[in-house]
Amino acid sequence: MPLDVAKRGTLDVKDPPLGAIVAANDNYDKGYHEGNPGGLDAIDTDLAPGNIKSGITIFGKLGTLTATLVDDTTGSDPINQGGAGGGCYSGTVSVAAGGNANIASCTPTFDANSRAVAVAVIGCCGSYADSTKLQVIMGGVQVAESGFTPMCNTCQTMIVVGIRALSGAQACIARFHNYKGTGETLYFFTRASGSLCSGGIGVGSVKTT
Amino acid sequence: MKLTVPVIGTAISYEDGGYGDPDDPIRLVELNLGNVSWQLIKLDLDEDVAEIEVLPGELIAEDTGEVDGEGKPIYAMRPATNKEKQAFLNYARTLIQGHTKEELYNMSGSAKLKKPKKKR
Repeated sequence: MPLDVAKRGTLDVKDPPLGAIVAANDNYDKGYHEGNPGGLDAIDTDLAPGNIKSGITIFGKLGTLTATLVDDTTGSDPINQGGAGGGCYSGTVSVAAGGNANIASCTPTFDANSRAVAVAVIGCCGSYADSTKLQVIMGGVQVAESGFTPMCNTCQTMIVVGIRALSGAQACIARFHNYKGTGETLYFFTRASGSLCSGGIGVGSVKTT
Repeated sequence: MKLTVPVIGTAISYEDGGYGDPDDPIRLVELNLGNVSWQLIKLDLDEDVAEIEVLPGELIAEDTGEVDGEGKPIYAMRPATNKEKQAFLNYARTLIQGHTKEELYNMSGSAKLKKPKKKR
């Protein structure tokens, strides 16, 4: 039987879709890719060893990036408790039952990539056992708390340290909180009655470049 | 010793892990954990909790049996023994892990954490 050469075919054959790898996303769809003689780093120039963490290989690029820590900022505020007092103590602060008493604060401005340390130091004692504790607040978040304030006739130095990532102007505060159901009086000790007590809050931070 | 404790206060931002109002800071629910100190490890503003590292107090107050001129008992501070330090940690652990989050809020009488709405 002869072939009917006038018949036109109706089979629908689609060309494979033309795709491309682009720097804007990591899509890698099915399809036909024309490729790029310059390689992937010609498509996205950020694919470079200097942008990849040291020791990590991405698409054959071995990273060389290492973070460098540099100084960011510092701040401090001494405790301004002092005045006339009897005996060997100078200055008191009252803390209501369940309440707080801020004793020192500073508000440094931190870099966007900084990590800060705040240290609150004070020599003091309280009237009651197991009542108050020294707290550090950084950026409106409580980051550390001491054990109980020592008792009246055994004044000791209390040190509390907090660490946080901060950016912008952020308050760093040292304060006492009273866990007891009655008011507490804290005594700050100095060598001479009437002089300001030693203590305060110090803040320092570092940032990566 | 690590503990996860509910937090209270007023959060004003979720950036950098969270910022609070300095006048009403994000802080642990106000329960007396006893003779321990702690440092913040991580703040979780989705679950409203903080993970903290807890250490026992180094000193303990002992009533000497004497009173001062105002009639208040005189205490002496002495180093805590290892057994006492473990008891401090056990107290804090039992207090926190022995109660649900709701129970801890109720026990402290504290309002729950106030937070801003998150952007979509």
